[in-house]
Amino acid sequence: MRSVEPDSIRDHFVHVGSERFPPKQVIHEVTGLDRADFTTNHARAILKRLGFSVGRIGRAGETAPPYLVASSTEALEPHRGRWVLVKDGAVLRAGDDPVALIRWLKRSRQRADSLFRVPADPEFEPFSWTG
Amino acid sequence: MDGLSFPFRPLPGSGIPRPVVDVFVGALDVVPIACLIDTGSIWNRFPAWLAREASVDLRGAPASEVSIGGHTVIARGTMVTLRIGRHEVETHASFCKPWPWDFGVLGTEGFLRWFDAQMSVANRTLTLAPA
Repeated sequence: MRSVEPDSIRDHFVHVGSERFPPKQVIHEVTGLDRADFTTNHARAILKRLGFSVGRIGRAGETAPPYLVASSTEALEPHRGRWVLVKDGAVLRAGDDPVALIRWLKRSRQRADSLFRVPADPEFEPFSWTG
Repeated sequence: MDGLSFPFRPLPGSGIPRPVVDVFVGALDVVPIACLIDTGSIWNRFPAWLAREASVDLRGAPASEVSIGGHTVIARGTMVTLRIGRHEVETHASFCKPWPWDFGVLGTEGFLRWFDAQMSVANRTLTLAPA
């Protein structure tokens, strides 16, 4: 799959190396099977059994972390460089200060699935010695 | 092994799946903190701002200068409760300033030694069971 350009992802995806591919594309490329001969669910199940990390855009999937779901829906684009609270795959609240966001959660007696800063640079790879 | 299984996932904004887990720190129960499992680190490291929000008392905690991820930071450490899934450990963690990253770091002595940990990089899965 190293030389294969990922197709656009409409719903389901699978991590292969550093890329995300539609599951049917991976099975098609690896086996040569016609994409019409199997379903996305079949492809996803096979890849999951093989140990690949699979996920689904726009919902809190069993393997997709909240920020991955949210980032896939482009919901994070308006918040680049800012901190966000994410719950159920959607941005609950955004701000410049993580402490203020945590205190807002406490005050409003809510919980979030994740708190993180949306990287200002989408190409930035943290804690990478060579990247 | 009976334990919690974590598919590798990218850090926020990143594209490369890594061993990342969500951990509740101290008394902060409204949102977990995404943490990178770093087998090259010995201790747990978190941003300094998190200490107060997690009700971690750093009064009297000695400060030391440490190098993390290519940055020099001032770390102040103490015992803290970390909760992951249904498992809870009382361990040492340092709260650091400055902290240019958007995630915590869990190290071998500070975190992994409390677990029987299996990491399959080929399958991009981390499994943790209480030791």
